[in-house]
Amino acid sequence: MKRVKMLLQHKWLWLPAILILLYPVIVGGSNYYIILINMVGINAISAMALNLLTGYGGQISVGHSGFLAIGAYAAAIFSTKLGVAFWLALPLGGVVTGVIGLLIGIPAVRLKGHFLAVATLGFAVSIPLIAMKWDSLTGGFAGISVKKPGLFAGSTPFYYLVVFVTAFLAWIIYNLIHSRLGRAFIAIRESEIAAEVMGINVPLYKAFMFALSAFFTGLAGGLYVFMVGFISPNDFTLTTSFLILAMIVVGGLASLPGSILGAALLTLLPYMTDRWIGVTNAVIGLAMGAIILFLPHGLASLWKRRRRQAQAAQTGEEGEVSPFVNI
Amino acid sequence: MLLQTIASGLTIGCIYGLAALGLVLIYKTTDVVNFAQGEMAMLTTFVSYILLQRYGLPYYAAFLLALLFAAVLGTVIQRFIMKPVQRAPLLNQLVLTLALYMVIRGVAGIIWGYVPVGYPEAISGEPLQLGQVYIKPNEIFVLCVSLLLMGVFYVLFQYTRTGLAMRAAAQDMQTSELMGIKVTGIFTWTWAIGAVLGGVAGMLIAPITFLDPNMMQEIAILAFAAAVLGGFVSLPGAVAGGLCIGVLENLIATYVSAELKAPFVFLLIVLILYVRPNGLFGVSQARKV
Amino acid sequence: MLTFENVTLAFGGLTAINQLSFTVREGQIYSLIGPNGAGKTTTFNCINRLYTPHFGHIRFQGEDIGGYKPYQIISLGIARSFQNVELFSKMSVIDNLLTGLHPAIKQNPFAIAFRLPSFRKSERAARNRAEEVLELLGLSQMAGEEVRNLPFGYQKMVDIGRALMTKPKLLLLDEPVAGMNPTETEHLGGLIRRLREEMGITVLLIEHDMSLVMNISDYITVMNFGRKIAEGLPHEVQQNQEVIEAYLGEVETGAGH
Repeated sequence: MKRVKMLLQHKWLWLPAILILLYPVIVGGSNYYIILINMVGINAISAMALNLLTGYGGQISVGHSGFLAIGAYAAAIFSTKLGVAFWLALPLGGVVTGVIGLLIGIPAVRLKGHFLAVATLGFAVSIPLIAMKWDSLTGGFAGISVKKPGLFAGSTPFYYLVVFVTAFLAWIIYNLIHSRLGRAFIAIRESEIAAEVMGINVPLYKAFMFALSAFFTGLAGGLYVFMVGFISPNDFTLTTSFLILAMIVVGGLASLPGSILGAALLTLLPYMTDRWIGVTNAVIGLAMGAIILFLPHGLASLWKRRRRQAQAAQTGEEGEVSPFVNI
Repeated sequence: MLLQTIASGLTIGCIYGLAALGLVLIYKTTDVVNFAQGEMAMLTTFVSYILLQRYGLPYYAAFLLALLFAAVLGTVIQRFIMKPVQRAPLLNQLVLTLALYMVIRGVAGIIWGYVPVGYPEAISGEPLQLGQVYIKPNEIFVLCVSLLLMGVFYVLFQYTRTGLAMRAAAQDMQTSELMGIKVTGIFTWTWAIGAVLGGVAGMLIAPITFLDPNMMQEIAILAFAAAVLGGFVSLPGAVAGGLCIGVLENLIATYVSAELKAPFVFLLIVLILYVRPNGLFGVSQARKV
Repeated sequence: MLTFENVTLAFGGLTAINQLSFTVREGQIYSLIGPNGAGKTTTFNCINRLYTPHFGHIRFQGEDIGGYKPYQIISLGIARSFQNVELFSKMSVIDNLLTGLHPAIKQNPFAIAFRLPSFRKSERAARNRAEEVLELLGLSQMAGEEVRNLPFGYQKMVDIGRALMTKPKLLLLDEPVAGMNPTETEHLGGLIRRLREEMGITVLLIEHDMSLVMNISDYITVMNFGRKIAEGLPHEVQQNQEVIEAYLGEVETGAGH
């Protein structure tokens, strides 16, 4: 509760919050614009999940499109083939993805950097091919259609669902990071040897990190399939993985607000340009390039810089806040 | 049948090896994994196609001019895009190459569209029979060009002053600068050479994949896998990794499953890496406290 | 409390530790000294199980620690600081300390995710412990600073603080005063004594600063080329001919590196 009050004190947060809540009214219930923001939410969940693994935990992954696909397929299969209710199919999809994430995490225990990247790359490339081939389960090329959940069948109720789930998961990921668990993840990123000596079971935590990140990404995949009502092998490809990775770097590594900003930017940009084939890729690329060149710590650094300036203004000179010289 | 599968696997493997060589060269010297390698190669291949078709140049002239273009492309990218972030965190540099990948893809799509077109082979002709194996003259050309280039760059890297400077810059950027090595110049050379190697791979593979903005995606992924399999720091490793993957891929496609060749190839790579976490030719980098 | 019995460790052809035996008794401040490359830090790494000796045994409170994994060592009551501070440099000082408490905090993922009261309680207790340690080390005002922004001397203190979080029985300090000025060194010497007297912590110390070593040690082992060349009380070691030669040798040949 204290934290909620603290958040409410930031007056400038009110405006976006009100905007988000009133959004369906503002756009007059337009399906197109609502789905646009739903996609931002879904991508924001994936980006936060990847940031947990890469930004905080230091383990690179270009396999998150695979987790999205598995989450989407699992939720679709639970709800269509097994008749599981929506509210249960969604988390179950996450759990299945988490278990697969744990399996992917096992080689990750031994592999670092590029070697890990290639293992996750292989995963991202393989999932669509497996989904294509295994048509008894996945419907092959035709994919699977799901019915929209009863209560959330309309686009406006579904919008509020996505907003709620995104905010809720952001809160949970925030909590995870600011705990014994999150500190262990960051410790592994900073120095595996020191982490080990401090009593952190590094292999176990790495595998767990993958499982957690996969779980959240799987939830995002589940939301996607219920929003679109359909999943097929080519919905999530390696390019999706690259985009999520770009989101967290453009937004800011190890920053949750950054993940959301990055997801918003790289989701909205393609939608604005998708009338011209080819232009989309070029614009996304240019935006990514410009941010890396001119804002190397991502969009989140804008906000951090502002906060630091505000602190400095409160305590007098900036020098008093930090009595130490940078070395 | 088996020999035939292996032989054509080796030909494709040579092309993976060339592209992997370009990746490793850039990584070894500048510490950057160039995700745009495949797209730079695609662009080069398009340039050669225009020279061939629109200007009617003979194959070898188009080939060489396109490589000149690749070298200029590599230089420009290094000078104007990668150099400003030379000292930034590695993930930033990596994402910048991803940005390049997107831009080149997008621009190529705008200019040339997405309809695949055929690309001529260097040498046409009936397959020759060697024992039980049939080899097309073009495949012999691919093998010769690949082996020649690999040899040339190995000698360049290992035995010349420029190669020595590259290796020094790879060890320690600052110290090399203090020793009077012009790091920027070396990095530019590396990018130019990397782009040329990729370009060759692109032009050699184009008759098989056809020419379109997506042509290099799969090749680049497998080249990356080849580089990693070889340890990512070893030039012979990159070539060996490429050959391994080319053969493996062909064997799996023939005897196991054509649709699932990528999952199986990657599964094998991961298994190999699990046993040798630093690749076939890599060295372990243990940290000291 | 800690016993080395004929411990031998070789890397390739190089014998890093050769037939090393010594015993640290409970409540001692025990120093391990010797020229650079004598195998002192390697000895620590063996205690931490980062290296496994080829021969010999290491016992802690009578138990052979050979069967433990590196991350289990701290739970036995052995904590350590590092020669070149292996801190989590992008974390704040207090988060570094809290990480040091990792094995002692019990928080289940479910309680963490939903911020249940049990999580908040254990987090509060952990913070109190961290504040205690910061107070002890005089680092209280720096709690929120990122470690990489601190001067090296302070980083060394944070490194020691992180090791103290779990209230270890045995503390391994690897050159704690390297890079500190004489005043800071004296201050840290006082602190090490307080750790022993007030908290009953046994200290195994690697140090090059002889004034500190001679001042606070109860017992000293001298190593050279992986072997023990002398041991005894500080004044005995000071007069040992072989020790003097080992150090003279280092002055003559070792100045280069």
